[in-house]
Amino acid sequence: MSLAFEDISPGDELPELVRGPMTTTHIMRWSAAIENWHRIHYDQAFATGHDGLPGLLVNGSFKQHLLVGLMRGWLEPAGWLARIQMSFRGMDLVGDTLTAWGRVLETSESDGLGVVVCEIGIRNQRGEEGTSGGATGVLPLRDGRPVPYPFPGLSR
Amino acid sequence: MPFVTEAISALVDVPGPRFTALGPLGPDELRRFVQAVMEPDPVHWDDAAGSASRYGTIVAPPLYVLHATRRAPGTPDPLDRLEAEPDWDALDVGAGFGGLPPIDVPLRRVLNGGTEAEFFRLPPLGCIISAQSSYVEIVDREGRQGPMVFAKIETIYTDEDGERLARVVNTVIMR
Repeated sequence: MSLAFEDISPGDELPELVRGPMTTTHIMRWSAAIENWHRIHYDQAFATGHDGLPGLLVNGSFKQHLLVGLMRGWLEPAGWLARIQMSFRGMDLVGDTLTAWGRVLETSESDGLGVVVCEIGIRNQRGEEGTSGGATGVLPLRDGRPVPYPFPGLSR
Repeated sequence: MPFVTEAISALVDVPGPRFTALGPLGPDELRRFVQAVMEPDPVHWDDAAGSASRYGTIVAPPLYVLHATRRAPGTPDPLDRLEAEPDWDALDVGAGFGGLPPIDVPLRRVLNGGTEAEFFRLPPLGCIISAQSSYVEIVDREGRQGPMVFAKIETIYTDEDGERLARVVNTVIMR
């Protein structure tokens, strides 16, 4: 079902997006797909011995896509993810299950479209919030004009 | 003591080199990518889904652009460095901060301070993606553990017609 602006309110929670447990194989597949050879993602001896990490790390780049996927899965097909920002404050390790979550903070109307500001983040099964950020989506009003594509950008 | 000198400040808003993908976005490359990121939307591989979508064709996910430019075949293999430096972490900095000149400050640790992105369109199959970066801010900050330098690097991703796909700003923290 296509989401419309009138369907949402501040405080609404987005459907969570879960990935994991993240095995070394998942992490290696991602690293190979993007040609990232940083050894902390697949070389256990290097990650723990040389870099002193508690284990192999899930790539930050994978977590970026997970948050984008969270927002797109909720907004599309009618809506558009206009902006997203995130920062990495903690590590997620091989074996962790990642849950991307989001909550609506603000809603407003602009130029015949709905603008939705959300807080977003990723927590692991230990409840650690290693990634946090925010996102702005654009939704059509019910019976309103579609969100333009290509999207021209939000006014600042 | 401030680290950001006049010469460092002069790096702001000076565009770096433009990097272009080795070729048009192909279905097999896209397949590998969406499988690895566990992307469930068939608009990224199915002709019918792509045709029925706002895009009218198969497209890549929004952040695919970050990974679109790769090392050309026949160029020196960066992993050769492991022979002389077996403890190298293989974090291939390659072109560094989008090919921009380094920020010459006596701070050794470089941390990822976060990412911001704006999306305008998704790259369709056949798209030739280019990227061009510039520093948009370089400032001194005082942290609990001493002085730091924050640099914001903006990268604009475009298609073969110069149309904007995405704008991404990475914050790099040196301390």
